[in-house]
Amino acid sequence: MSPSITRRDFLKLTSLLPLLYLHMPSEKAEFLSSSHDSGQPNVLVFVFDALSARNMPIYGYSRNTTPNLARFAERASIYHSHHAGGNFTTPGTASLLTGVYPWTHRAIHLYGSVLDPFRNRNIFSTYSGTGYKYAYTHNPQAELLLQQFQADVDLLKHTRELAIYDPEYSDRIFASDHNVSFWSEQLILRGNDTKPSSLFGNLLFRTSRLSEIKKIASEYGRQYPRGVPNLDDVYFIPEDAINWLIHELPASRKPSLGYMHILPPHGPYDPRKDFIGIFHDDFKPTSKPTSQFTQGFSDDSANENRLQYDEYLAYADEEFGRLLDAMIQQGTLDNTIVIVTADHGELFERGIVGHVTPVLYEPLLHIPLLISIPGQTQRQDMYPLTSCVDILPTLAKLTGQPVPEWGEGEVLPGFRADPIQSDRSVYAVDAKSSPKHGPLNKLSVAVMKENYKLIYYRGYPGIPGSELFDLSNDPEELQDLSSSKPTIAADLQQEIEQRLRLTNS
Amino acid sequence: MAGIAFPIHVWAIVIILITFPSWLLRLSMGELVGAISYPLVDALLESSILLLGFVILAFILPGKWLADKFVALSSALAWLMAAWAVLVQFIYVRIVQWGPEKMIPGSLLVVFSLGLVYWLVQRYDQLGNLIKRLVQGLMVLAYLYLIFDMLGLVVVVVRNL
Repeated sequence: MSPSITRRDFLKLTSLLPLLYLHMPSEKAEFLSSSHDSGQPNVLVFVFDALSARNMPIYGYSRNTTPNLARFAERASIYHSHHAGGNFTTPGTASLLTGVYPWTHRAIHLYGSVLDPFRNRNIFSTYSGTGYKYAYTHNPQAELLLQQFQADVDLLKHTRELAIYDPEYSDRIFASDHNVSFWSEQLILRGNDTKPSSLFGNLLFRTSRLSEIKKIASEYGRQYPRGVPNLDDVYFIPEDAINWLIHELPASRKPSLGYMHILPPHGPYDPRKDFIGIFHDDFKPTSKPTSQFTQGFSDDSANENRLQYDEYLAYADEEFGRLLDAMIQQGTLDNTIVIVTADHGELFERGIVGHVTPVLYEPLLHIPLLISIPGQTQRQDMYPLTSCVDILPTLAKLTGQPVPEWGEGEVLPGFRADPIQSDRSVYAVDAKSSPKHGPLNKLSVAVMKENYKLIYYRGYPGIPGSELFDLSNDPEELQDLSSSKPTIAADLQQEIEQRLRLTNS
Repeated sequence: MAGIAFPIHVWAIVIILITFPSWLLRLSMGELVGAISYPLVDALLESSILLLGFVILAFILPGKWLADKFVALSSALAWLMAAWAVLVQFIYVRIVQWGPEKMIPGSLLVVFSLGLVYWLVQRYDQLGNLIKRLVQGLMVLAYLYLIFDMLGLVVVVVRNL
């Protein structure tokens, strides 16, 4: 007698197992219902600065840059088409924290700030009630934003408190006018765009700064041969922030919302010495045409920078792994929703390195999003198009708060009963050359809808108006389809222009 | 005060004007007034500290060394120091890489030039008188600076109440 189920049948049935996961009362469903019964869960939002999903093996990268994030992903939902709201810290972080796009919150400049209404429209204000809220970032640009939300944060750990050097004075002397005094301090002592306005005082400042930096280099130089991790004069040891968080997690009052925004892998790429030279490969990324916004980097030079970035990323990943292990050991992972993401990505192609550029190609916008809920033991892969503005409404839903009406995002798939609209548009904006308080007249906008992505440039003389890519068939954005598919390009451009008209009116 | 305040304020105002367009993108009108006020207050502070330094020296040193030609000497020295400071702003990146073989002669050159100007003003009364006349011409500007600095101080205080 032949068996009733053949090997082939068995394999077919096995392939249906994932469907069972979706159909059966899942851990997620149990958690969502129990979270309503037992009050708010703890939440930790962990942000890597300038982490491109395109440099992570869980998103298909060939270098093993993030083994610890891969370990975490085995118990998390992975969003495969998640996008930043901007291409540098200020707009990207502000969109993540406020749940609206840069053209709405208007934190569009380097060290920019959100419009006043968003001071109390953010993830901290959304997580209201008795929850304890704490935040820390290495990045002074992100800190300027967090200071705006300070009224809704119980413990805003200042960047300086976990840094080894931070020579900012305005936040100490003129704290109540920091958004303005910050700019004055830049002009008086640093003169970033020009020379400092202080003729004599800045020389004292610069001499003292130089001597401090030399001291740091001699103290930590052996551990960090390429330089001590830093950004805009703030020097720090990444371990210190992770150690603080490991201590803070069990110590914080329950329920809690934590926001941790670490600088690595944001440049300068200065890993600890044990991460230098870890990738011995002949990896060569796809060669791409030079952008009209090229900074003049050759492919070889861009690849060298990519290698250093990957090493710094591996260092950041190890620190995340240390946190993960500590959370498992403490048991805090069992009662915490952990959201891992980035504020924007990083680019090493088309003659451009970094992210200070008007272009909006995928390595800059495609960022990771991994969400693990208490008790989750299996990986879940999510493919719909999502945006950083979706995190705020999702958090609201997860913590039993009403989803704010002013948000521009949607509850993420996996945390909603109905499927997300397949023809939804997701945007990213770079408007650093436009005024905060006025019409956005010089900017680039990316709109992603279904398979297509249109990058629209306005106000850049000599730059073609738009580029169209089919991301499902051309994820590397090599074929500009704007002339071969003019109708799609025109529709998407019109959609952007409508949004801009609304914004500028 | 006019002689000392002049180079410090001219430099600050030029830098503010250069920066102004980029601030226009970022700041509202109210914030702009605030942002301009801080560097003006800083210019007032730097002028006052430099003046105080010369006043203290005039008290300490014998009268003929400084006090007798206070306006001419303090102004001439302040202008020369300001000129060196402006030069340093432009070549700072190179200066920080200098070793002692360049730093020592560079510093000596500054000291020597200050000494030379001091000697010239002491030696030639006509030069001292010319500087005094120039400083008198700058008095109107000094009053203007003072008014704006004071307004800036008020703005800074109000914004931080």
